[in-house]
Amino acid sequence: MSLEPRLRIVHKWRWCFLLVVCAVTAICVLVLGNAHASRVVRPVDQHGDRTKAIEAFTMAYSVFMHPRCVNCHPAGNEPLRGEDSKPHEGLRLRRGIDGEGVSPLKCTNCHQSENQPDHHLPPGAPRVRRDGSLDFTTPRWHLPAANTPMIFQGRTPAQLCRQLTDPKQNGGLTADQLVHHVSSDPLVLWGWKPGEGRATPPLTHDQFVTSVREWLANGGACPN
Amino acid sequence: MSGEVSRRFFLTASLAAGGGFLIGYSLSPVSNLAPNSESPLPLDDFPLNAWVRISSRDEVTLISSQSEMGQGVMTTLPAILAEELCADWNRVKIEISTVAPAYRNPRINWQFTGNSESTTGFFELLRTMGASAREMLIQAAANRWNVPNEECYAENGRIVHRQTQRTLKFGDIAEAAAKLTPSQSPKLKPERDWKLLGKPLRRVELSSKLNGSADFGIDFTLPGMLYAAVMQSPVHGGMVSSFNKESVMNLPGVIDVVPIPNGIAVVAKQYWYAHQALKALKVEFDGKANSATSTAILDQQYRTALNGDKWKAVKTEGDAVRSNSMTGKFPQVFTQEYESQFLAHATMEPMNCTASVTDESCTVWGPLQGPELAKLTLSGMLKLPLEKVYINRTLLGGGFGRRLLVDFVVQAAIISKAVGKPVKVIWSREEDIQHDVYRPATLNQISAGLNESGRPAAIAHKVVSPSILQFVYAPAVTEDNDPSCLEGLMESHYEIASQRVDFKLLKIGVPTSVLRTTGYGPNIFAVESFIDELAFKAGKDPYEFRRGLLKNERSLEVLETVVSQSDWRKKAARGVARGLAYTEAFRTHIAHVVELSIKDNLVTIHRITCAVDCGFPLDPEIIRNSIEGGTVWGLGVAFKSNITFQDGRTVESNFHNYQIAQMQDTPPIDVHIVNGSTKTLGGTGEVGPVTVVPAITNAIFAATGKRYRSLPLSKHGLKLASAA
Amino acid sequence: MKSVAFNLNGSPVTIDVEPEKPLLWVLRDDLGLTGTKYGCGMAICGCCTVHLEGDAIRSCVTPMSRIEGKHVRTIEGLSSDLSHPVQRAWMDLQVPQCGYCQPGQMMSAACLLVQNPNPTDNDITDAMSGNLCRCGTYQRVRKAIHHAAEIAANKGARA
Repeated sequence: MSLEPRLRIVHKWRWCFLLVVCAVTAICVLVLGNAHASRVVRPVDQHGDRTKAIEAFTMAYSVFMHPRCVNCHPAGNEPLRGEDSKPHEGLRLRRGIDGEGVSPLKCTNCHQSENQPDHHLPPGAPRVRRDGSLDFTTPRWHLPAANTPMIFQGRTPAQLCRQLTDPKQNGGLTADQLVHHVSSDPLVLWGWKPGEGRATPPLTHDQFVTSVREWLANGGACPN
Repeated sequence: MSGEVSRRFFLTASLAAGGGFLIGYSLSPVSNLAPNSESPLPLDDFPLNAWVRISSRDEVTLISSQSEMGQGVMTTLPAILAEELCADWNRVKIEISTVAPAYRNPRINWQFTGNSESTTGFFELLRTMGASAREMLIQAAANRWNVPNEECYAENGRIVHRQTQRTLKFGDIAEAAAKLTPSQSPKLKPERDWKLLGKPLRRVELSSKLNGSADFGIDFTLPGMLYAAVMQSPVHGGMVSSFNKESVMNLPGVIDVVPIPNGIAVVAKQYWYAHQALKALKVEFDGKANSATSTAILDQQYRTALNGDKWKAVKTEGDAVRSNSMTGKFPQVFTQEYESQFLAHATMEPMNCTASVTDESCTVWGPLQGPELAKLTLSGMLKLPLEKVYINRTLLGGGFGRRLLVDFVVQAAIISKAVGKPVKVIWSREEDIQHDVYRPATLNQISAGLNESGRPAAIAHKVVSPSILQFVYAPAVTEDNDPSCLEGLMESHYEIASQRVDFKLLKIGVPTSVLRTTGYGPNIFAVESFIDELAFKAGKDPYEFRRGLLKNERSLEVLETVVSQSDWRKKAARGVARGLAYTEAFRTHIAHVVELSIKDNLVTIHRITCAVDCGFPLDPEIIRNSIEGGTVWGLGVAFKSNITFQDGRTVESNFHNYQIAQMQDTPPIDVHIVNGSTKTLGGTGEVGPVTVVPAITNAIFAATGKRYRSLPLSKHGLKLASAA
Repeated sequence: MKSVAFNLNGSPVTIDVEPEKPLLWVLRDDLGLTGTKYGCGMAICGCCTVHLEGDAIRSCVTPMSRIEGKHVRTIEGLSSDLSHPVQRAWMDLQVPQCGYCQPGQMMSAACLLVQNPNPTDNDITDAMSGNLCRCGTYQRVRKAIHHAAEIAANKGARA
């Protein structure tokens, strides 16, 4: 269809068009007017679902705050390790601009694509190819980049929830992308196969993903 | 170490006295160390004595008897020869000697590298040997020219006839010179004419250490060589009770499984395969004997010893200390206790050795400090005559005393004999730390009888320690005495009229031996902390108090130097405090000033100043390097390094839990060399850590009023803050 | 066993090897390059540091499966004639004592200077915090890195 006939249709129905646009805008303004909500939130009845959302988030929070996650979502400028989430003893490591560390001590200079058999050896995770398959010849191990540090360490549930749903702080992730990250990212999956001597989070991975889904499906509301 | 070597300890040696063929391997300043097997010298290479060899192609080879482990002996000692010889230093080759009586340290007639006495032990001998060779060359040239000796002199690798300016290269007359009888008392070159000694020389092996070509023991290879990984009884003193060879024989690269005295070895075509297989090997150990030993139990043992009687009085000088107690003899008696910890050597290159054993001979290549002990031990163990045991030394990736022992050498020989091939044994880092032979912990009690002004008029030491020398120099150790445990206490420059030392030699369930600083380390930590405490009690500045106790000019000069080169006399900024310590150890006078701040148990060291008098500084740059490095070692001893035991085993296993000083721990360190005489040479390799440790604890006291008397400081929750 | 083809110090190498075998032992025992050292086996001490695609990796924990198709540079390949600014600086300041840790120190330093041609003292401490030295040469290593940076800047070459 050529452009001109389409423009004639728009012109004929322009007032209806404008009315619809205004209505949609009004609804969006109403919905987005709440400072806590974000793009990820679908307009639903907030009350009963809000409770479910917060319950689900609270479950997920116990995983987010576990050392397996916190250690790569630190508050400071260096990666953490161990059950007590301390800096790598004896090493002065830095996040670096892209989160991959600073030469000559970038993350993958020690961390490989798989765990090594001993809890004093660095754990590892593979790179993901464009087609989604895992590349075990190349490691991927890093912190969030410096301008979106995605800090979990020290966050209250309210703070973490707001941060995860704020596109300015969550790296522009949509709900689907967030769910994808927690369900398939090798670095997240690693939390449940962390190698000898490292504890796993308090929920199973399935339970964790389900709770994240539940939270977002019910509006992604945040506790106060 | 003191005392004559006991002849009964040695098998009779039938080695030729000095002047025999020299076997070793060559090194030129920019080339590799390439170990040779024993073979006769080329026919045109002429030894003038055990230390100098010159070929007709004018190649001058100087022999280094001492093992090179970073202390620079392979440069400085041959430089002594080259200086007297008047050789062209830029063209000499350096060769590491074999084991022969000519290469024994003259003081105790035993061939070893350690105790910071390479330079002091060999200085006179090497001057004499170099001078003697020079005179032989001059004589040979004078004969050739038919002129008097007095008209000839040596310079830069040539003999010159003064009147006619005719020259002959050393190589032109080497053969003739080698036939002459050397003078027994050659004329030494005056120090004012020295061209090499006293100047910083480039280390002869420096280039090879910068491009990966330097061969350490762990790098040595032979065609057909196999590799072995070892697992020793986790409980000290335990043995293998059973093992299942078949559990690994099918694994990649595995050749054999061989028992060793305290454990088991897997032999494979490469180390990694041996190491992997060892993890899979089914083996059981019987460790009943010492399985109860732990740090807690050892602490009890030391404490019981200190509180008990049956002391050996090793020194009693002055009436005030004739009896066991000073009570009632002085206005005040002050007593304190100090504790130093068990330490591991943790050389960067783990223990390793290569051996090739046949029915007729045994040849060894490795990073050894004690080649004569190795030779004697292997000869006895393999029932081979001494002349069929050949010891070749590579470079050492650190020694610190650990490689004076021969356990790893014996393992290599046993395994090689078992498989009938050359074998290189490599210890994993875990084996290296868990089967170190540790610096023993020491418990010191010091009592001083003080006069009215707080000055000590009598001092009595009680020392509880296991043996230091037992495995490396048994002749010096008796049932109840080990002189190394008393270093720093038997002689002191502090003018204290009455001095007493009582010693208790402890027998414990973990192995102990020499480690950098030997007895000086713990004893001077105790003494310099104690003197500092006395200074405080007397209300005196720690420097002034020490000055008041010293008369020796060298002591006073070193102390004055460190004080004036540091900021000791300047008013400290708020929160900044300084600590001082001085001693003479290994014949070297040394003092440290440490300047630090401390907040919330985090110690920031701002600066460390050191003054050192080791006599005439033969190579100031090597000395400076050595003292800096020793100071850094001391930071680790003071703050971090600690070996503990549980259930008869060592707890620490690698660098994550046996912690050493790192870049971020290292503050600026200034070393000031106080010039001394060649008559008062001292060692530098292990003196650096001795005074920095008490200087640190003294500074912490000055900063906080808290006195820490046991090490490491991590035990008390103190941590070193990162340097810049 | 797997055939791994890679570039080593500028030359192509192909070797049949277990994919899990650490690069360190392939370099030392299969390829005879013993400049890279074993010090701890757990990526703490830095003695095993080599460059992989320019990054300073710890070869004692790096499996050969990661090396396929990549460029590896060891201490032997830093230069053919000790002319690399790091080697020259180490020579001028006589950094090594026993020398065992120095290949790792130099490889880490060389990598630092590529990324940061003019590092501060703080940058140097961070960068070198993973290289242990039992002889305590740290002060000299630090000075040598500054000196290497000057040499590289004067040469107009990258470190």
